[in-house]
Amino acid sequence: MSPTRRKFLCGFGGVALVSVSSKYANSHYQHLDQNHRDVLSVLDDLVVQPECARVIGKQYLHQYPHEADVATLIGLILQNSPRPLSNDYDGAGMTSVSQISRNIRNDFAVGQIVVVDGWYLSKTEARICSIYCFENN
Amino acid sequence: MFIDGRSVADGTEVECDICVVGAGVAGVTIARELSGGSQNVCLVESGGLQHDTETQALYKGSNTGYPYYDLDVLRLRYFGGSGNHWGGVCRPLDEIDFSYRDWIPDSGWPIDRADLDPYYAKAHEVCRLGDYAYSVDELETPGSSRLAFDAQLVESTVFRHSSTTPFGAIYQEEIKSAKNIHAYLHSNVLEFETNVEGSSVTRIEVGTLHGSRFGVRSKIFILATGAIENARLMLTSDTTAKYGIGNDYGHVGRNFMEHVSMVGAMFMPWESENSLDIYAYNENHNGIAALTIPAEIQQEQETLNICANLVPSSIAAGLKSVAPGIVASVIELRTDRSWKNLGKHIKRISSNLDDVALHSYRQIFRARSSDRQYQLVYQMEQAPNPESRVTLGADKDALGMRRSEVKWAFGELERNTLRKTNEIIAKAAGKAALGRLWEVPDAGDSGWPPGVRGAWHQMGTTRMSRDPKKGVVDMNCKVHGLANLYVAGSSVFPTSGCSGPTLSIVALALRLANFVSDNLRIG
Repeated sequence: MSPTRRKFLCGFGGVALVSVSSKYANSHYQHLDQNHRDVLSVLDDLVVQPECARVIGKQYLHQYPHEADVATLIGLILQNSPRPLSNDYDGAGMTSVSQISRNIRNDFAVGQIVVVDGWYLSKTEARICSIYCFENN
Repeated sequence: MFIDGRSVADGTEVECDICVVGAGVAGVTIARELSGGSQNVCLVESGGLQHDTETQALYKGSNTGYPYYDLDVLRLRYFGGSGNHWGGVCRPLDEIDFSYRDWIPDSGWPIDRADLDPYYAKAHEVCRLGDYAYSVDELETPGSSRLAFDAQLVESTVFRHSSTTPFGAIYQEEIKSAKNIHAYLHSNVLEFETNVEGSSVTRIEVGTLHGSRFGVRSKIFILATGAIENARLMLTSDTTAKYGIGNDYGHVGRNFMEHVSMVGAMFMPWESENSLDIYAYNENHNGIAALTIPAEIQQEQETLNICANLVPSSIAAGLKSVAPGIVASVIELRTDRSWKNLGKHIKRISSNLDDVALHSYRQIFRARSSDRQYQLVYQMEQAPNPESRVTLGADKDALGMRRSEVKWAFGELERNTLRKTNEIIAKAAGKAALGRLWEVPDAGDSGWPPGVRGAWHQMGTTRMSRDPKKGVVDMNCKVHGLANLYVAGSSVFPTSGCSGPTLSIVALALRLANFVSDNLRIG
């Protein structure tokens, strides 16, 4: 990724991209279509330490057990994202990460927030954390 | 002139037109306003010109409710009163503070903000606050500006602060040289005596710690000894009124209020260039910004009024080596009363909240925030609560008067306000991409975060109301049912707002001084 691109992303939504890694090979993910698998890659760009995300995710799923499924969580994360997610610019000059950042801000604007471990998080943030609960299980 | 009450011959009867009891912020303000006029004014003060232990001990009492400060530490009993250790942070009450709010029982003043506005400007001069202006623009610098919240959700407001010169020292010479003012020092009011019908005060009985007694007779009496002592003196004056003067409906001492204060949340800002210094004390500025919630949102969410300062937690963390806790800070405040250090004490009290998983958000998400975080130090209005009250205890002081007993109580409305305010700020911060909020967890099963405390602001106890059945004084601060007794100070506040009370105490005192002076002139 070019330094310019990184700077742009940092400036847009409060997040930065790093190298993409793929760790989603277990049974929780095998039934997902390609678009969903792309989402998982994007989440790796958002999250620094999956083990910390899991702590939040576990508590969130305890509050919302009906969302405890990877496909459901991804569907909810994408529900306000009209374009397929990827780490390349789309026609509007947005990336998937910036789309998700926009969704997060929108969550706060419309009151879609949740308190987990003391943090006031957007539901999108909490759902992103929850996906890591299924990693390497 | 100053007169040492201990030198007044036993049995002397002093006569005057207006007798002001208590030379604290309210009493001194009233005396100054009456200075140079045609009325003969007596100012009766328990202490001398300096702190002395024996007189201060008359303030000892007990606390039976939510943990509160020692009553003899909380207040100062000498010329200038608690104005000798005030923090100097001022702001007028908001318009909504005067309104009836149907979600807050017993809210609403019989006057509104417009009634006090003319006096607020003058009160600014009395408190040495500079121009009567409250614009955040003045505080902003290129490196430090207000947080860009949607102003319909969260506002930034200004609190002005005065120099820390003790009130008594500022105005001592002026009172001393006023020809129509006789200030009796070391003179303790023991009782307000009334006529047989109990319809007007005829005399006060004054005692000294040397054992002498004298009386003061006056056309008008103004009680200005602070919210706790005002109630105590009215309750203890029970010769003609069994339950104390002005207490026909049992309101004297009730609705004791404080500003419920605590570190309620931590704020982690996204923006690293903005220092947010305008939200913290700076001795070079005469104002501090604070976050407040607009009236419309308070109404929608049915919350109390509240404000929040942002204290950088790196400063608080630096104080970790110092023993935390309220007690240590209270003890230090007895001898160290500058505003600057008051801020330090607040930080110390709350420093133990730092580093509690605060980096966890950064460990999860790639936030662009720097490593800064801020404590949201809330100062919250307390809802009127008749069970929060000042009564007379069984113990007696050196003058034989029953000591005060304070039961500080607050409850669900305050708790809801904390929770909802955290949520309001968190939503607004997320919406504007300003940062994230982490709420401080409750201490055990208390329902409150640790370190909830008062702000050294005692209010209520002789609340203002048009209806004698619902309050102690009327809209002019005259005690219902008594023709010539008035009350000054924050004891008359029906509700407290979230601003420190001093500016409003002074504004109300100026208004009262004008009212009684005009009334006497008219006859």
